[in-house]
Amino acid sequence: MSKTTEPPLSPAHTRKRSPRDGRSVSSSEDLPEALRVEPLVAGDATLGKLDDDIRYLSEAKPPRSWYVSLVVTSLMALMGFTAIGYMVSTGIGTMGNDIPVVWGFLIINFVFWVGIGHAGTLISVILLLFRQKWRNAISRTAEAVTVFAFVCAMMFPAVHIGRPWMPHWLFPYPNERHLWINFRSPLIWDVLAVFTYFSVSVMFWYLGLIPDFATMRSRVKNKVKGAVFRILSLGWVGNARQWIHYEKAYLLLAGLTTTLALSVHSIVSTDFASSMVPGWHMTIFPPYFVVGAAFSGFAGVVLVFAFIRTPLNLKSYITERHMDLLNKTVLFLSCLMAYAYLMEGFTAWFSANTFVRYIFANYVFGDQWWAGTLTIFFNCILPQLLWVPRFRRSVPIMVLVSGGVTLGMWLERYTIIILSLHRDYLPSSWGVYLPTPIDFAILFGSVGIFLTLLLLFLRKMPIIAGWEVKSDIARYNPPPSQPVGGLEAEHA
Amino acid sequence: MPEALFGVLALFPSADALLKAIPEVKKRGFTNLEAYTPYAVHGIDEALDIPKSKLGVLVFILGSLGAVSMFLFEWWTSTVSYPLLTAGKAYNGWPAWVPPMLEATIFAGTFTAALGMLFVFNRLPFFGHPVLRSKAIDEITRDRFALMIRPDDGGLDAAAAIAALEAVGGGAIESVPERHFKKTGLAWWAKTVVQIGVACVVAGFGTAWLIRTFPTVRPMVEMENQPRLDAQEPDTFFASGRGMQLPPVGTVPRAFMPILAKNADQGGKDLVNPLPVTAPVLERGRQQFDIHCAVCHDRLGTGKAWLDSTYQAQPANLQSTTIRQATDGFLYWVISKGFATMPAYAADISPHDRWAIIRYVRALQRSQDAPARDVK
Amino acid sequence: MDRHSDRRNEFPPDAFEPVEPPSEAEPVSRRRFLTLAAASAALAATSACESPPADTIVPYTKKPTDVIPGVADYYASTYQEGQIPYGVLVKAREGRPIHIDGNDEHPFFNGKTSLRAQAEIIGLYNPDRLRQPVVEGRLATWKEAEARVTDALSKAAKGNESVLLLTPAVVSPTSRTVIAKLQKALPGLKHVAWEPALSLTDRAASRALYGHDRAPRYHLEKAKVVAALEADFLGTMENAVEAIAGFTRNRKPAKPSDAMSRLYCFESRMSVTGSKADVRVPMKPSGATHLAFAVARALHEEHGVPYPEGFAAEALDRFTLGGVSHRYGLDRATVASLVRDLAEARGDSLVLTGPSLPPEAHVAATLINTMLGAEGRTVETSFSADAPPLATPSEMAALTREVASGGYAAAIFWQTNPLYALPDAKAFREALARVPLSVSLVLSENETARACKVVLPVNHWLESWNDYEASTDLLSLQQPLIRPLYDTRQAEEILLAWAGALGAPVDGRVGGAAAGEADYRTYLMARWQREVYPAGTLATFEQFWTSAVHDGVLHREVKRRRSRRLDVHAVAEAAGKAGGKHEAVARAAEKSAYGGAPGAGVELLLEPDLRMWDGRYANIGWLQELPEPITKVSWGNYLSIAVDDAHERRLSDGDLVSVTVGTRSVTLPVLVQPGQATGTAFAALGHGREGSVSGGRGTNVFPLVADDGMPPFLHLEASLSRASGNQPLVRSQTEFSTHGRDIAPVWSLADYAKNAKPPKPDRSLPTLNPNVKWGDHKWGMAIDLSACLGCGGCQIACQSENNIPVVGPEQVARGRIMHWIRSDVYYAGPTDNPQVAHALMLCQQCDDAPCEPVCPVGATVHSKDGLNEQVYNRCVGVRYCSANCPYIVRRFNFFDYTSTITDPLDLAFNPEVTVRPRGVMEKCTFCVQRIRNGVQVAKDEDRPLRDGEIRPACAVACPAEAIVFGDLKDPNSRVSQLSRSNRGYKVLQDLGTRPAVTYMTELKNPPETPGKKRHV
Repeated sequence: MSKTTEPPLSPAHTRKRSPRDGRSVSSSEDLPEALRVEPLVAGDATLGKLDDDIRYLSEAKPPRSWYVSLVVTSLMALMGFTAIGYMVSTGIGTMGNDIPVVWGFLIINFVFWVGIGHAGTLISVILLLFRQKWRNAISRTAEAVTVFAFVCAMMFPAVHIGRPWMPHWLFPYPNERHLWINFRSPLIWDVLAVFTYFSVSVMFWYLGLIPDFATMRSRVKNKVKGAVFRILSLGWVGNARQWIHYEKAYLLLAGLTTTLALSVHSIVSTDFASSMVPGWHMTIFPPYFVVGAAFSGFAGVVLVFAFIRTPLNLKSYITERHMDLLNKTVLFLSCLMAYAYLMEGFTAWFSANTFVRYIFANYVFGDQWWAGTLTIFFNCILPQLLWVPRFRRSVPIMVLVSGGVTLGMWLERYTIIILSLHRDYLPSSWGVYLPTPIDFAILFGSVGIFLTLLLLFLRKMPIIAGWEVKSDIARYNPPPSQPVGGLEAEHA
Repeated sequence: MPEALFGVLALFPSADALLKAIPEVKKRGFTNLEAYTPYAVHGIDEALDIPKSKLGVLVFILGSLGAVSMFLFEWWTSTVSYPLLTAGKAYNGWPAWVPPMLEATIFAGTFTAALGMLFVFNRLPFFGHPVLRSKAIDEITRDRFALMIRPDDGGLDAAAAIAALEAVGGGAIESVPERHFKKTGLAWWAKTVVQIGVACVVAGFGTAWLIRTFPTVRPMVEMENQPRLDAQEPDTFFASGRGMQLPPVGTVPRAFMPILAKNADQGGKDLVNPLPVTAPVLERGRQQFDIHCAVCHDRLGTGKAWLDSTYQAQPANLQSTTIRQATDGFLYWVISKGFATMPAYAADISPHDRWAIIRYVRALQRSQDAPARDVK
Repeated sequence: MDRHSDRRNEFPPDAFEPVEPPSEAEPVSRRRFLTLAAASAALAATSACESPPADTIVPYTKKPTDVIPGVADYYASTYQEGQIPYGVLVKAREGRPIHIDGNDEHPFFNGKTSLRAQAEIIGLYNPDRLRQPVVEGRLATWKEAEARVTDALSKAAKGNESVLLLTPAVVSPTSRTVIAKLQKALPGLKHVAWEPALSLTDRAASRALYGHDRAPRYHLEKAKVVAALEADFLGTMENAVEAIAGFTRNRKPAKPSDAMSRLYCFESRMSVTGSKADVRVPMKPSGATHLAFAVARALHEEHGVPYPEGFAAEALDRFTLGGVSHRYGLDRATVASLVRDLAEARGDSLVLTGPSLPPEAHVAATLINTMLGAEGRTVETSFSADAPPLATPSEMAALTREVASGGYAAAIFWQTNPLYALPDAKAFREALARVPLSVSLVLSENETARACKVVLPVNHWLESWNDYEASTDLLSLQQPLIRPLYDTRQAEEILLAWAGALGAPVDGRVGGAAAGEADYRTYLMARWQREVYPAGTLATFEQFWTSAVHDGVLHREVKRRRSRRLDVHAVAEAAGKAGGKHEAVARAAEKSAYGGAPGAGVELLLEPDLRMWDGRYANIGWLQELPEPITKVSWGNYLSIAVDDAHERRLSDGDLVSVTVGTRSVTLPVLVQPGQATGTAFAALGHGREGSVSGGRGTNVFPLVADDGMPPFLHLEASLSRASGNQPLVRSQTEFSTHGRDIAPVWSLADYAKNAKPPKPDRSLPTLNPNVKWGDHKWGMAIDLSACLGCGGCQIACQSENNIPVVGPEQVARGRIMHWIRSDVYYAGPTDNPQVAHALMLCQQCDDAPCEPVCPVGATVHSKDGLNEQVYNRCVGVRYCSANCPYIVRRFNFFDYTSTITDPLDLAFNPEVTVRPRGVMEKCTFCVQRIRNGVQVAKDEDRPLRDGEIRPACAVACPAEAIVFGDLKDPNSRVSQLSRSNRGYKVLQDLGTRPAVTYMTELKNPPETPGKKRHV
């Protein structure tokens, strides 16, 4: 590539440091251990090294373990698709749904994945608004989690309907029946919200990727990949004017997407809250669902990083401090969940409504007491481990907790949806939900789809928002005054 | 001629170096400066006095437009285009329309922000940017910070620019040549539009042809052809292939007492007209008479309708004395069972209407030789 | 060319003057028509974006006068079951029956009929029906089959060998003549009539008492006090339809002061009757006889009701009220109040004894009725015909032995199935093997037919002509609704043909499939002209006959029969027998004295099943799937035992037990039934038939029927033993407690007096968008739960009217039963004798329907006349509506239940109702097709709609008249009045759904004695 003529650097320039940087770094060195700010970048990371590390991940031949897990996950996905195919061609009856439990695993999975899907937005958007620098390193992967989770989530409403070959009837489009949709139905709000959220997340994700594509376009060895990146980077040159608009857009998106992130699960919750099923008809549901979503989302992200940090040696960019902060958030949200549960219980008792009271008692003492009980254990009790600082940085513990939370949140949706439906107003029509193999095949299938996409992402795409982390690196270990022309070395 | 110069750029190792260099270069009288950085460097907008981005305004306008249009759409679909009554509530249930409006706002807003930034303000995608061809671009997107001196109104003295950049400690100084593209004129746009139009038309007709030629996939088919057996449908179960069966001989359904009289005279004895002589009855009679009878018997019952000239039929003259003297029962029997060439009408005219027709015929007869007192 | 000229060419000028239509009307309208036609054609062309669905139209070549395509016809006919000829009115479309209701001209049934009769539509179109004769197991022609039989018969006639003819009860006078004819031609013919579902103990009693079998007609509408001893007269007893209609007439008081009958029920199992009883006393069947005699005695001793003259009072000495109550653990006060009520009601009372009880019990009941003067008032025989002769189980056993001993040249089974329904079927099978020729006249192959050499397919009754003797003064006519679907003949015809072949003179052309249905009709008409047509009538016979066929019934002037005089010695003898000579009762007496120790035997009660009757309906899916009214078990039977017995024996629902009586034993699943008397068990007959529908469901308990004397359906010593395994019961309802929710209240009359007030108005809360105004009508329904018995008649009617699929046991077990209307059952109080509440539940057509706003595609919307409509075509099946329906009345097609239905079953579909495919939600629509139809008819005849003109299928079918439908906008309509009833309420009203269905609280009328606290 370009052979630059090496410019003579003025000694003044090399020696002098910017007072700001100087202070920031030295001051934190002078401070006592306790008060010292732990850097968000570990080791000898430099801007260039970051690029190379990111590029390395997407170019180097992945280890066998990656291939093995890819095979496994894609087989799971295949199983899922087969089950769905069978179900669609035979009927909803192949699953456990019945009267009165008309909504089953598919809706549970939908809500579950939508919840996971909140990780990306909340981390990369809300933390951005709060100027939390530690988000930079993890935002990209978190957004990927969001997008993939939504790929799974959006699959379910489409196939759970009785006539899955006409999901388009849920969208308002001019049709030969001259019929529109019913905007009073929370299900329609739901459809619109999820659709918006997905498209916006994808857009947001791509926007963040543009400068990184620009970085990689000319460096990747594979020419095809280079061409693809070149196109995807839209000819980004990193002009200061571009950056001004870019940052502005990023900020606006962040603002709007926050509203969205808060509204989406609220709206999903109205599917339940605005119905009159005891246990669903609760004003607390919207905030409660949002918290739940954030909770499962963060847990999901913790799980992902706990697994990829070491093998992909991201330690210097996703430091222990990152995990610590993530786990703190999980702990905080867990406490919020506990509050939400208590509040729900209180509302039920305070309502003095026979039906509602019965349902809530039924959650924990009823025929399927284990669902409610495990929910509370996994979501409220287990995470309390994280009060211990050591645990917040120990991989096994965080895997245990976050895994527990993920499971617990699924069980929560099981409790809400199935246990509320199966014993409502008229005891004469009480029933049970008996899941079938198809139910489980589809559930694990969706997990397979998610993991497959994630694995591909981890090895084919820039998994760290380079342009954002670079600013951190510049802050914590500013570029040493090595001659500019160190470049040939890398290109030779 | 020497190709025009896009600008002269130099690289700096850090953002601070760049930020320090900018005022220096400005001092040397270069006004049209540009910076290229691997990440958004703060404070650079003041340094290069780049105006604040107007993106926010655009987003606000289009966002609120999204909200408004969604409201109008909801209002139109639910109250004008196809109003559906749900839960017995009034059609105009606006409170339920808020969530979709919120979504619409956000959708419009975000996409305005993203696409507006890319396409409107940054004019991307644009793969012809001269800097993309420069040697420095790779370092710029990596870890170097470039300052470029662009020609201003007075053009650009390359040498001076290079000197200036050297002076402020920029490295890898490089002069980037301008690139020329011919403008896409009106003609080009016109051509494109026409091409698209043609493509659409072709596609449209193609699709139409496909749909008409090949059987279309109908997910709804199971409700279109019902397993139930409708009137006048064929049915393979019966040997005749007909769905409609003849009732077994001698069965008597409710409200269909058969006429047992063997002949018209017998019928004349047995049957009595149950209908009163009232305007509605006569009106009904007139209507039915004009439909079924007038075609042969003529609207006056003279039996000289325009048909008899066409076919050699001699319909009875209902004004004749025989008919006048015949009892209602007699006429009823004749209408029901047929007479000479006249076919039976029992299957086509309901008993009530048959009696009504007879009442009307009596009226016709009266109308034709009305005694003087009637006319007065 | 100007208008006038072309008008002139078109019409003769003179056509216009006198009766000139409004000038220019003609041509103008013609032009408008043409333009319209053109426009619509254009529209059609443009809108045909899809290849148009291929569709053929097959009209009538020559349209019959009495069929209008698309308009239903109604034919009066008759359906015989057991000894009862039900007058029915059959709805037909284009000469094809699709729905059955009661004959409204019939004085006994007044438009009501048995739910089994309604389900017979499926019997007609049952794909299993035989389509041609079978000889030696291979398909044959009528010719050879006939030849085969007639040869054998003529040989038998010559050799004077005996031939067995086994038939059901012959209630048709004309059929009797046919058999007589064959008898004449074939002297060796031994005709045996047999109804396996009838115990005939009552007959034995009446023969003993009166020396004849005259089946009385019970006038429950006249009865102020009814005592039922093990008598499920509202459920499984014959002719429950008439009983329900009569009984419920006194159960719907409009105000607390109105008269309401009181029903005492002493029974071992929880029956439909027991569930409606004001005082229900669980007791062992063995005690019933003693109780009845004790009551008779108490009436005499304590209330001075005279015995019939000549009766020796000391015959009853041993039956003291105290003794009996103590012996059978009855509450003294309850029995006393029964006696008092009977005494006070005098003639307006009725004591009924069940078919399972021994003849002595019937004798005792008859004695009481006679003493009180009920005989002739509530028990009326003045026109009842002599009951058709029938063979008891023991006589059947004798017959088996006789056949086994040989000497029978042939055995002919006319619509009977001994190899299934005989207690000792095995023996009969062996006996049959020794008969050279066995002939079976059946609709579809059954256990017996499979063992027969010649199987002749006969017409379904909907393809047949016949007459029946409902009573001496009432003949009921049967006319076919459709020509035979297959190459079948009417049984009577076949017999006539044989008689003809044997050289008997037979009037009317006989034999030959070609002649088809004309034959027996001619024969029938001939007989009527001879014997029924009264001489010197003004009407010609043809008119007489036609109007009889039209009405379906014929009243005859006959003189009432003398009232019966009972033979007091017979009573005394019976009393003596009951008092110790009769083995069974005696043993029961001792055993129950120390209250049968559990682990020892139980008293086993058998009764025909409410749906299967004697098993003949086994292949009718509608009836198999219909949940049993009390236990809600569908698809199969069970052995119901008492709760505490279940605890003792550690049995729970579904556990298999084998019941042993003497040498025979069957194994069937247990059902723990609240209210079942301790030490008793109950099992229903009629299940466990072979067949494509019933195959493998239920257990045949006919082997447990006693064929060694009376009573056949009751065993005092049956032993239960736990069998290995468990067979889950298929139930449509699994939770029977209201959990203290106020959804199915039950009031005593006292409560009624206390809280009688019109239903509280629906609260209208402040809202951002108000309700709309209704159109011309506002449809509503009122359901009187005091009358509703949960019998299921409405469910069958609804299934037939609305094309509701049968989903099968697996799906029902998964909670996917499709019934649009269901009757819920709730128990309250002690498990040994709970109070039962029935709650009929169907779509409430809520004004603020929760299902509507949540449907994303507008598939369920509200109509201007207040209906909650379901647009199947729009539904994509998100099932949100069902989740949000507090009444859980919506049903979902989890699989493709309908389009797999095979010819000819699809002919039973109602063409006025869409058949729903997979993935679509469905529910009750108040029979919207009938509503629209009714409104249209009224509009055509331009008159206002009459109240009660439109009635949903359920309302028409309900024998208790518990369902009233109508227009709530008309304040005087019956439904409006009932909706204002002072015991009206709405289910879950506080949810604010504003249901259009008003329920009337179920009432009980217990005596104000200490007995009360026990039962209410």
